[in-house]
Amino acid sequence: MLLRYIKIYLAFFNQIIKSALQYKADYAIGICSTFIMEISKFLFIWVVFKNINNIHGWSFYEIAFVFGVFTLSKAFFEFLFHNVWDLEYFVRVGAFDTMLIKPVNTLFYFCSFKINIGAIGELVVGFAIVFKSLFEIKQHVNIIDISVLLLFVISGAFIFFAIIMIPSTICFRFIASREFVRSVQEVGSFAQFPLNFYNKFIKIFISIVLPYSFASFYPASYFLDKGFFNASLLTPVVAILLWAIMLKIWNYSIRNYSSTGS
Amino acid sequence: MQKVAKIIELVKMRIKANVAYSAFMWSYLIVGIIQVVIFYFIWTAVYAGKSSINGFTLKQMITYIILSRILVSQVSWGINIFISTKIRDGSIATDLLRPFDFQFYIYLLRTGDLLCYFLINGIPAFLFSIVAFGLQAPTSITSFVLFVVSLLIGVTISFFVEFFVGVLSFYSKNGWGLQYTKMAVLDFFSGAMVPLAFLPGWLNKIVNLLPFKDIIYTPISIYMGVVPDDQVVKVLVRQTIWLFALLVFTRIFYKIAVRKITVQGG
Repeated sequence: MLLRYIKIYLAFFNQIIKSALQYKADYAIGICSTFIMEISKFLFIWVVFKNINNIHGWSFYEIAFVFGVFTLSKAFFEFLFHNVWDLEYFVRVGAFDTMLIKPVNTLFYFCSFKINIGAIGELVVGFAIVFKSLFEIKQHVNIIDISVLLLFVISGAFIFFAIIMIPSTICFRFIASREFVRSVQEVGSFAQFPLNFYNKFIKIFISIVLPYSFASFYPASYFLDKGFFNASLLTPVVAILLWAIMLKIWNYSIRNYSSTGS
Repeated sequence: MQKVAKIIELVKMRIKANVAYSAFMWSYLIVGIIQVVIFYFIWTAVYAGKSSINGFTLKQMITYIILSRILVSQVSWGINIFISTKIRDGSIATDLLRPFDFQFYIYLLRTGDLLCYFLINGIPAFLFSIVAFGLQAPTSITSFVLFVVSLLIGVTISFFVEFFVGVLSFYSKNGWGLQYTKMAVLDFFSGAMVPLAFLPGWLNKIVNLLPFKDIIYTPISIYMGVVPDDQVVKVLVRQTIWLFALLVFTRIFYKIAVRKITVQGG
């Protein structure tokens, strides 16, 4: 059964790559634009550190590493699960109904029929920042470190997806969900920087209510000597937990969903 | 007189359309507040133990980030997505066939968007921030008036940039890709992300060759009194020169792009 799903996913992936190679110019612009966008965000840290040399004892590379883990997790999320942003659109125009009657699990189909090739630009920037800062922080990086890092980053992508998907399911019942989800997404930006900079309320909010910190700060803590090592190991656990919650809400939503009619 | 009536009608319609989509305005506000709060904490941490960096105190920095977030949320989006959507779904054809100048038409729509934004979001946010967040009041009446003049010029420069990016969609289907690139470039080079005084010298040389700093950094510096009194007029003149340069440039570019389409047919 699992094998079947893997085969189907790879078949979709293949189709998408083929179609991307057909429209190279448009995809190239997409990739360049996300690349420029992420570099621009990183430039904030770069410019600030042209004027000072540490913030609360955090060095440039330590802050860049936290930022990089966030960016890389988000990049994988945007690459694999970009469709969550279109859920509201599909439901509104009635196109979602066709996904319900597919012979495969609806959520699986929804996640796999389109990959966001444009996010490759974001992935490149994320990898560059993460690996450059990691090598500056730790003298010796071994294969275990890299494996742990990849595990954390993929968990981070799943965490992003769950946090965005849960409020998105409002679109099955109400219309203005997109603006609400946009606000939920923006809260994530707090997690780009070390938790130490914020007050207690924000720290708790982005660790427990919207656990974005488990896609950036906590996993990064595994490699830094700023504490929270044990919390970093919880990263995959948090990802699984959030997915369990998200699946329950998703299944409940589509069970009670009656189409807008077309 | 007929033409003036039509213009007013267009702008009024656009404002009504904006108000109808008010959920969008709320999300602007919330997103803006979140960004200000994040910047507030980061800069407070940066300023720990320091009274001023690059001539900015922490209080001034907070004034800067609130003002720049109020301005950038309007300038970030812009009318280019509207134009590229029209090009993609073909409705641009009817607009081009009309005797009404297309660029002027888009300019009026943009004015409607701006008026709506400032009346509903911008000005209330500004007044509220003075009372609640310690946003510094303008240093004098003259600097405030000059700030408003600079702001109006800056916003019009932004319009020309947006129009240019929108018309670029005649050459590429990827309107969103262009939008993200524009947002990234503008966010950095306009000073929205970080006051341009913080940039290393060589980067500032590049910044001064571009019009983007006149959209956000220049008006805010006038407001904050960062620009000495004798320099203000020079700065406003520079802004105005850019304004006319962009007007000419976008007009020529637009004519070339339209001719290319009509020659190709459809």
